[in-house]
Amino acid sequence: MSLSSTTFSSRVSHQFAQEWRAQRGLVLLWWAALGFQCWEVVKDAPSKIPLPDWLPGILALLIVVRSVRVDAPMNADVNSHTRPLGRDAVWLAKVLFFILALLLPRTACVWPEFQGLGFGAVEWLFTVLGRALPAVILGSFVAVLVCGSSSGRRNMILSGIGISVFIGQWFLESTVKLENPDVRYIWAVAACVWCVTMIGAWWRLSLARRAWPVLFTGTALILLAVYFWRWDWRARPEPVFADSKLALHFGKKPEANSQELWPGLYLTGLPADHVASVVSLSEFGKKSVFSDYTITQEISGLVTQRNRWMTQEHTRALMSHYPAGSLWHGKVDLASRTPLKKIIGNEPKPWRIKLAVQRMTKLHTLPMSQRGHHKVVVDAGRRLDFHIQDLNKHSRLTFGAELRHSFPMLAPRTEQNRFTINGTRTEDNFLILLHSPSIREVRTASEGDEHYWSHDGLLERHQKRPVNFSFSHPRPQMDIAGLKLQDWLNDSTLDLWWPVECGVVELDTSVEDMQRLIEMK
Amino acid sequence: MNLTLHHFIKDFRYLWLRWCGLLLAICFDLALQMQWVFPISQESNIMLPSFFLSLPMWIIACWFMLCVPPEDRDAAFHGTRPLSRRDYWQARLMTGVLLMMLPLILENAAFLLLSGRGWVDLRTGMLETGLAAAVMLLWLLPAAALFRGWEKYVALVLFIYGLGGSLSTSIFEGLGLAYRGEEQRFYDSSTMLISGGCLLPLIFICAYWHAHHPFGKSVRLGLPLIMGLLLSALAQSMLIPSRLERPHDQALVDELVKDRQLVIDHHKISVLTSTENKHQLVAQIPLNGLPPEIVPHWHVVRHKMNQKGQPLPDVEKISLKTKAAVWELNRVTFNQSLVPYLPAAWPSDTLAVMEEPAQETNLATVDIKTDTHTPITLDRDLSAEWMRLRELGRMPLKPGANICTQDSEIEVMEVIAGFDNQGHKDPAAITLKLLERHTTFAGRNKMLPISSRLCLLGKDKRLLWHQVMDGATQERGANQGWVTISRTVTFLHGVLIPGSGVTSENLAEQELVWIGGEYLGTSRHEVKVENFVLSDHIHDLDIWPRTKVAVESGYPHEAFLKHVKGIPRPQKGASKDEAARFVATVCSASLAFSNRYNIDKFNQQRWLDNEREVAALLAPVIIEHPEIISAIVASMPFNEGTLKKRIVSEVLFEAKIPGFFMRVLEATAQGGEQHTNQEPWISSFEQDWSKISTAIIQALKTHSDEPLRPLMEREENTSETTENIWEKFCRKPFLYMDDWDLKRLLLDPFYRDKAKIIVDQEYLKIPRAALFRREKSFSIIACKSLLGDIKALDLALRIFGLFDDANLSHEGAIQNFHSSVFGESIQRADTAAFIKNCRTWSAHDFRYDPEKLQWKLNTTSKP
Repeated sequence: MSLSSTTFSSRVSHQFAQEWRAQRGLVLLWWAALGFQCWEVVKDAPSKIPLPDWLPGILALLIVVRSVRVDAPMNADVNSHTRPLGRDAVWLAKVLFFILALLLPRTACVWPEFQGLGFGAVEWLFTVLGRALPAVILGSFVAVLVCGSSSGRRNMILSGIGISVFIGQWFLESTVKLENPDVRYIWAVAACVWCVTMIGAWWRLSLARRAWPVLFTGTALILLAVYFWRWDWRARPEPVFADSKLALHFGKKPEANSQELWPGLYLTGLPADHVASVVSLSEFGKKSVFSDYTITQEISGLVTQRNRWMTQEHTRALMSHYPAGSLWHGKVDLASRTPLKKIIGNEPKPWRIKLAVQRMTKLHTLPMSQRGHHKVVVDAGRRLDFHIQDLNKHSRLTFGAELRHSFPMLAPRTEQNRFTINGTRTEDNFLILLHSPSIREVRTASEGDEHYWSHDGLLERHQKRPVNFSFSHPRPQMDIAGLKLQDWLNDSTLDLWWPVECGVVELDTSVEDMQRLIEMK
Repeated sequence: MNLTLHHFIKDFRYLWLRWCGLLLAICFDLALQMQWVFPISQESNIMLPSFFLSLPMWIIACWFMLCVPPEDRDAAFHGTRPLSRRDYWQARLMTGVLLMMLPLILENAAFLLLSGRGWVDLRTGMLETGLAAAVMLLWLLPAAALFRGWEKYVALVLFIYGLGGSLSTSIFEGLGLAYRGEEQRFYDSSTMLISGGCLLPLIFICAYWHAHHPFGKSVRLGLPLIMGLLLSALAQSMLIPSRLERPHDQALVDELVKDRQLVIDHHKISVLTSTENKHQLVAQIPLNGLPPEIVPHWHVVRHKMNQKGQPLPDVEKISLKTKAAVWELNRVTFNQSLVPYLPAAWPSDTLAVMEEPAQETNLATVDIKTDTHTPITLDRDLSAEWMRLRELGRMPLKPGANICTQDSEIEVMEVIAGFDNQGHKDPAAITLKLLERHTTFAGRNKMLPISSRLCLLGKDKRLLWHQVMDGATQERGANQGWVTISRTVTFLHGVLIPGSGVTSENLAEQELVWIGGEYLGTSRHEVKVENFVLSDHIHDLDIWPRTKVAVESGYPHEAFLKHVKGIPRPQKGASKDEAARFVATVCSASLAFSNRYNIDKFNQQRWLDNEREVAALLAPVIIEHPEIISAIVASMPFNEGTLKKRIVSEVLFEAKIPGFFMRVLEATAQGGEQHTNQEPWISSFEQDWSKISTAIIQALKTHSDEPLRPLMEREENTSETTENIWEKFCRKPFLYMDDWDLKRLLLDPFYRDKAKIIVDQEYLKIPRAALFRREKSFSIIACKSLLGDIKALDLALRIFGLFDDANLSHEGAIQNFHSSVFGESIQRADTAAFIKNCRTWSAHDFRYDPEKLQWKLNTTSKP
């Protein structure tokens, strides 16, 4: 076969076939390991035969090393520059081989992991990018290193260079705090430049056996990106509530629809189903002294986020959706706010109150006659899975539930993630109601207070939060009126209500208003 | 020249650079373990066990021995070279001994010498290191023949993965075999050593086979993984004995249990319900007369349960791991009060500041759906691991204080008052930075399996803190024979609290007592419990699940009444089902509005009662269908007792039953309206309610007071007989013992001495811990105080003095105690003052009045 008698594409395909023949065993093994790992993630249960997490990665790197090494451009013994196929065809064939055999299967694994989470095209794109980027970073770097592989001594030197680069990269990350998810976008930009640099360097080495200009330019661009790139495409400004005009009212409860923030202080102008939560209460120019979202430890002064920031007002907003006169009970949101006088003291000053407005939205209705596992997508990346765990556990109907939040860190934030407290997302709260019309009762439950841990990946956020909830049986009706458990369940309906963020608003109070409030009994 | 020596020199020429790397690694490891580099400090974040810190050195040693000159790898060359096989292997052995083993042994010797250890420790350490290195060498010599070039690196990685991963645990779990915990492999060198020795023949067989029938690359690379797995599995299996788990005095244990038949009476067994979906049977194992420092830890090793001749499955499986056996003894010293076990270490009336420990052993776990009324038979094999505790030493609570024994040392580096070991401010906390050193030889390990425990003894109030919260731990030298551990511990339950007698100013006057333990041996016992009826021992009451109203609006009583008025009432002549539904709806609302009974800080109801109006709405409905009363009475829980009585009262009032109604009118005329509306004119004892409801239903149906008369007569004699009191007192003292019943029994000469014995028995059972879970313990202490026991009174005063006078968590128990022992009731506002006084009082400030069975303060001010 001579260069002139064959087309470029046929040479590429010939080399591709050669690559497959040489490595098919390893590739099949890698596919099996990847598939097993993917299946474990989907199954979400520890396997009895634990496969080390690093095994697929090691296999993939082994494939890359073997493929590049056999035609290493810097190794005179392998005659890579005299092959009739041509260096460009060989290089391209290897790139295609890596894409089809390694990269595509790896990125294909995102589908079973993230399907059913309400992702749109943008989220899928960034998920795939987030999964592909680390692989391309590592693979291209190893390919560049292996290009120089020849004798054992040289291999040791190259390994040392690789380890040094790895340590240097880690050092740079920790110095500039690139491991912080909030600035991960800078890392992503630098990583993209790195990938292009490495692929370019590998190409130049394969063709011309020198790549210093590419490496030099690439390194300079990476450093520039790390220190100067500040455009975060993911960030979105905090939403402002403009659906209606809100105002504060001091004194007695007004006739119109209003929400009591504190005794004597009301918020008017809220549309139906809307509730306001206090984000901050502060004197002008000073730090906030109260928030529904945070709690300050008395002894240490540490400020931590509350797990449960919803209040009784959120429950009250739903009452109009259910028959009047129903008995509303449960043990949710019973704590009331710290008295305002304790917060502001006795000296009247002007204060600024920042409120977040939510709209209570019914996401799901489930007649209790239907059993089984249910999945409700809250928004892109967030899903509530629940099922009945026990019909009668000490006179309670218990549900096993999990709130799953998986999201690519490089994707723009969704509408619901725009609202943050001091840069941190608030905890997900919701209300679940069990309406039993025949006994005129509505039972409330919330997401509980169990501990959970995040299992974030490099560019993916993963949280699985247990949010089990339960409802008490109507024992008086069962014991006195003979109501059967099954009849009660068949009559009841489960409603999932979610506080959808609508925006924030800041309202100011005057000295006179605060004086009036302080003087009130 | 001798051929062996010749080849050794040749080997050395090839390996000398690598040997320099090995020496460098050994020196670095020595520097690390001696803390010349990365010393233990607050800033250091090396939290790994020291075995992991030495792991790179051992890997480099393995790599060193796997490096073989290229010409020695070619099998074809062996047939023609003048060097005999014997000389070759002798030379390789010499290489291993001189270039690998010797430096490792010398490193260990250097470590022990530089640490100031004696010749005995030096000898032990060198011997153990030499043995470990020898076994490793015998593995590596034949293994070196299997791998060429880069294959040795892959082999090392696979071997380490097979050895250190959790594959072996998965295999044991899959096969259903007992095994040791994974982490034990790293601290228990004896099992690894023995396992390595047992697998040597397999290595030789593989090398011999390869020499004659060479393996393929896949087999050669798979062998390290398999050998690592086998080594790990054998070390974890129970086939290999562990030096750490060997008993120190099995003969003593056999002597202690000789001729002792274990019998567990039914009344010693409690059934704990409602943790998950199971009933848990627990019991105190009756083995009295043991020396105080000897502590058994019981657990079930074999279980069999039958009900009606059919086997009953135990819900909780016995853990396959036997780590629970000896290694669980550490939990005993944490979970139990140490006070009774070392009477010589502290005053006899010392109290452990901890929550009341559970002293029962879990006997069985039964599914909640099991028929609790049918007897079951339990057939158990119990195993007891015996431990002996001893005092290692004591020192003052100040920096620089230390205790040294032959095998252990401890030094207080810093005493921090007011902060916990996470750095958070906590005014009651005492945190200690400690430096501990223990022997960790395979044959003499004082770190495991039972860790020593440092206790803080508050001398003024004779209080003992021994539960600590461990912070970050750093260690060095565990694999060299003497481990140095830096720990930062905080005592649980607060030390610098009012009433403890320990303040920031008198810290140096308090004592730290160091307690150590050793595992003596194990004994097995068979226990059979026949015809055990679960329902007789279940203490949980089937009450309605508590709930609260979801949205508060105004005063609870008003809101409750408003809600009840909003419920559609059944018309006159409605069916019984409709009437029952209405009543049930009202009861459900009552449950939700239960906060209407909340009391204020003066023990008074916060809101005005309007239950009568609610009852008045229900009465006409119930009068039409009197059978509903039995459903109400049978199912309404005790916490709805107020409404229950109101409903019954109102029904009787509205029914205007002749005879009974005249009596009500007479009482009203005498100004007793308040009384008629509060009491239903019947006994208020819970167990009488079924008779009450039957009588009321009959009275309503017949419109006659005749069915009610026996109950009214009973009203005049509502008190229980002494026999009934004694029956409950002796059968279930922990439920029913209180001062009222005791005083009744003491009045009767027949029961007086018996009652005193029961009180003494129950008092001795109370663990000497300051924080009780069950308030009934205070009743027992009150009863003992009533008998004139000054120590019991002193115990109570010290415990109350530790309580928080702001939160008043055991307010009811304190008020009951005060009323019982001092004969005076106190309100909530006085309770806080009483707690504060208890911090300065002692029992000697009181005098006992044997006639009144009370204690009085020896001053003019009231207690």
